[in-house]
Amino acid sequence: MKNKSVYVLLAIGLCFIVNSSYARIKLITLPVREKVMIQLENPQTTIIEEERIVPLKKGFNDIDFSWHNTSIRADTIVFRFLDNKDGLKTNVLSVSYPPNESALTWKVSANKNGSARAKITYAINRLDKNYQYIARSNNDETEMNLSQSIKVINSTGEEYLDAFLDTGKENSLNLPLGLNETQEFINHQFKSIPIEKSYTVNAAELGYRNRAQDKLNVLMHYHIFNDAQHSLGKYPLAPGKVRIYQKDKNGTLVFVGEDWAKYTGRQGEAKLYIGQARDIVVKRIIEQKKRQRINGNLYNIDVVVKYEIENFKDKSLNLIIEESLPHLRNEVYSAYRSAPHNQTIEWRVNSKTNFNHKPLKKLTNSQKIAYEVTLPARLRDENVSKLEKKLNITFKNEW
Amino acid sequence: MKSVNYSVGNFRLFFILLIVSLILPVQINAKNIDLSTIPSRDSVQLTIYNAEDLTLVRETRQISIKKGRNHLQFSWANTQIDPTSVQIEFLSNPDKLQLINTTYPHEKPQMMYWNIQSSIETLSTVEISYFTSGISWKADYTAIVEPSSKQMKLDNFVTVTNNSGEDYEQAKVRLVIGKINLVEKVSDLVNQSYQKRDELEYRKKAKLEKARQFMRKTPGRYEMLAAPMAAPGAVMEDAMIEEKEVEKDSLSEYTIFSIEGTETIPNQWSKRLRSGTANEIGLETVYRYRPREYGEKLVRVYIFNNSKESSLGVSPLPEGKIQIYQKNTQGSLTYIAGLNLNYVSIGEKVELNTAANPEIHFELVNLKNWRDNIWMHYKKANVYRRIGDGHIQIDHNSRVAGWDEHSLYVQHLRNPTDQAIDIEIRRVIYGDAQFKSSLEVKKHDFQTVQLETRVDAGEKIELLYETTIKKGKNAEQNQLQLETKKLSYPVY
Repeated sequence: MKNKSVYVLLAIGLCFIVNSSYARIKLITLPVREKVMIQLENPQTTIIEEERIVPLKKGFNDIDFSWHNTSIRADTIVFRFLDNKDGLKTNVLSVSYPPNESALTWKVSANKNGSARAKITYAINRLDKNYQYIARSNNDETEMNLSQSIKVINSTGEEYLDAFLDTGKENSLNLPLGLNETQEFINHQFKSIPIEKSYTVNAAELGYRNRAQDKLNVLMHYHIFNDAQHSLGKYPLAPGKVRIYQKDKNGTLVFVGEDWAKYTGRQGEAKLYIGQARDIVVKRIIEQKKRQRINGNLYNIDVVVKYEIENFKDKSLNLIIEESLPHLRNEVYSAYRSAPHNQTIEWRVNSKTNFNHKPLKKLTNSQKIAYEVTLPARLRDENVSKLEKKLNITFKNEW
Repeated sequence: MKSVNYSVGNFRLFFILLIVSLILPVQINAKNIDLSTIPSRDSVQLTIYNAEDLTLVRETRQISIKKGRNHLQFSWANTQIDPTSVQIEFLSNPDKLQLINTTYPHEKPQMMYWNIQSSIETLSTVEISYFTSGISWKADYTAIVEPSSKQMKLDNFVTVTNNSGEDYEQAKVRLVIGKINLVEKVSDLVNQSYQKRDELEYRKKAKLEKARQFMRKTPGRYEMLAAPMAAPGAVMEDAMIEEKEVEKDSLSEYTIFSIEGTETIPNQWSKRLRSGTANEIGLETVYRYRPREYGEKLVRVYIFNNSKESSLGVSPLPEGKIQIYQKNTQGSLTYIAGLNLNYVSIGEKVELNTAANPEIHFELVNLKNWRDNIWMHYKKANVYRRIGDGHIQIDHNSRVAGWDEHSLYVQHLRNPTDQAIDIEIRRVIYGDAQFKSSLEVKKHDFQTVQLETRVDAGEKIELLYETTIKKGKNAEQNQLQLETKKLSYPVY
C-alpha cells in the first residue's frame, strides 16, 4: 500500500464499465495542497484543514478524495469552495461513496473553465499531542520561567510536510510533520512569573510521616496563577507534565521534582506538588474529647486538636494546617461506632482555638477548615522554638 | 435443449423480469423455443423509509402480451426482496388484462409466475412493486457557527446507501421520515426465502435430473436471462449546473423528501446530496447545569428554532448526526462537537449539547451545615434512686424525632472568555425543602429550582444560597418553597 495516501483527484471524463465491475478510469490531475493547517486546540479532536486549487472545466467535474491507510474520520469531511474571483461559480452537487474504499467523489459543477480555491476540513485520529512544561524557579522560589512545549506524534499514515500547527488563540507555527514522525516545539515561554510556595499538612489527605510519633507529612507546592497580575492569563494552560528546576546560589539548575499539571483556565490556579519538607515538624494529637448530652440521644462532642510545630529552616515561612472534619469526627467516634457515620456534619469553632487569624476563606468549607501559621526562622545557635496551636471543634447535634 | 439456470452463480444483484408466452404444449414439444422479450425498466421509483429497513420499489416495464393465457416469470435471486410484497398492476388496458393467479414453484425460491389472461394482443405497460431491504437513507448535518456565536449556517444532507443486491439506474428517489408499523421485518421475510433456498440446495443435485425431466414436461416455460447493469459513471443524468432541489411534502404523519430528477445508485454505493441549507440561523448560546440531562457538568448548549424566522422551518429535520464547527477570524473551521440530532418538527426548538467548555470555571461549594428545630420523642422516664440518701434521678428516654437541616452553598462561576455568557442552573432538592437566596430563581418543577444569571466577559461571580430540608417528623410533604433572603459568608 502507498504510504502517502490522501489524494484529491480531479477527474474529468467518464467512468467506464468493464464487465460487471466498476473501473473508474479517469483523466486526472492532482491539485497540490496550497496550505495545510493542523488544529491542535480541541483537546479531543485534531482537525486538518487543507487548501487546494482545483482546476475545473465548464460543466460537471468529479473530484476524488481518498484516504487509504489513514485515519480520517469520514463523517467529518467538509468540502467548501472559497470565494472565487473571475465570475467562476461552483456548486457541490453530490458526494458518492464507492463500496469498500476509503474514498469519495464530489460531483461539482462549474459555469466556466477555471481554477477554484477550495478547503477540505476533516477530523483525524492518531495525530496525538501532549504538553510538557519546564519550570525554572529562582533561588528564593518567588518567581519562575515557564516554557510550554507541545509534542505532536503523527501516526495518521499521512505526511504533512508544509503544515501550520495551530495551537489556539491564533497562534500557529510552520513545521513539517513527516510520516510516523514526532515533532516537539516550544509553544509559549513566560518569563519571571510570580509564584507562591506553600507548606501544607492535612492528616486525612496527606497523611503522617511517622504515625507512631504523630508527625505529619509536610507537603510543598508551587502555585501558579494564570492571570495578568502574575504575567500570565492570555492562554489556558493545557494539562501536562511539569519538570521543575531551581537555580542554586551558583546559578546552576537543579532538578527539584515534577508533577502533572491539570488544565488551568485563564484566571485559574495551578498547584504543583514539589515534594516533602523535612525541616518542618508538625505533631498532631487529639488532646481532648468531651461528649455533652443535650437531651435523650442528642449530644454535642467537643474536640481539641493540638499541633506542635517546629521550623528547623533558617527562614520564616507560612504553614497551612488543614483539618478534615469528617476524618476528625470518625477519629473521635471510632471508639464505639462500628461503621462510619453518614449524618450531615454540623460543627463550629470553639473557644480553645488559638490560631492568630480566621480560617482561610479559600480553603474552608463544610468539610474542611484551614488556618495559616507563620513560622519564625530558626536562629543560629538557638534551640528551635516549638509553636503550639490548638483547634477546638464542637460537633453539634449528633445522635 | 436449453437448460434453465435459475440461480446464476455470480449474479451480484440479480433481478429478472421475463415474459414467456404461453405456448401450446404441442408447439413446445416441437420447437422448444418461443418468442420471448426481456423488457428493460422504463422507470423506477424508490421510496425509502428511514425508521425501518424497508424500501418500496415501483418500476414500470413494457411487456408483450398475447391474446389468451400468458405466463410472466419474475425472479429475484441474490437480492433482498420480500416475496410476499411483489405485486403487478396493469397500467394500460387494465380492463383487458386480468391476473388469474400467482404460482410460487416448489423447487425455485425467489421466483414466481403470474398467470395473466388477456383478451387482446398488446404491448402493455405494467407496474411491478415490491419491498426490499438493504436500501437505507440517513440524514446528516454540518453546522458552521459564526465567530460571534450569534449565527450559524446549517447544511442538511441525505445519504442513500444501496446494499440491496440490485443496481438502481436513474431512479426517482423519495425518502420517508416517520415511524411506520411493521409486523414482520422485511429482512426476516427475505431470510425465510433464503432459508428455503438453502434447504433446497442440498437436495438439488440429487433431484437435478428429476427436475430436468419435470421441465421437459412443462410446456412453454423458457427463459433468457439478462442482468440489467447500472452504469455507475452516470452519476448525474441531467445537465444542470445547480444543485438538485429536494422537495418536501407531508403525507399523514410522514414527511417525504423527493429528490429532483433521477439518481443512479449502484449496489454497495452510497450517495450524499444536500437536502437543504440555511445560512443565517439565529443562535442562542446558554451554559446549563442540569445533572439529570447532561451529567455533573456545566455544558454549552446551542439553541435554534426550526422555523422560518431562523431561515429553516420548511420541513422537519430528520434524525441524524450533526457535526458542528466554528469559523475563526481567519475563516478556518475549528471543531466543536459531533452529536446526534433527534427528529425536529417544524417550529420545534433544537438544543445541541456541545459538552463542557473547560475555560468556564463552575464549582459548587457547601460552606456550612447546621440543624435546628430539633424535636425529641419522649417514650418513658427511667427513674433512678440512690440507696441511702434516697436521691432520685429521672432520665427521660427520648430520641430525636424531627429536625430542620440547613446547608449554605456558594456557586463559583468564572468567565475568562471575551464574551458574556448566560447561565442556567437547575438543582433538585428532595424532601420538604425551602430554597433561600437573594437571587432571582424560579421553580422548574415541584422539587427543582432554576436560577439564571449572566457572567460578563472576564467576570467572576459567587452565588450564595441556602437550603432548609425538614427531616423526620418535621417533614410534611415533598415540596419546595422559595424564600428571598440576603446571605453572606459564614463565620465558623
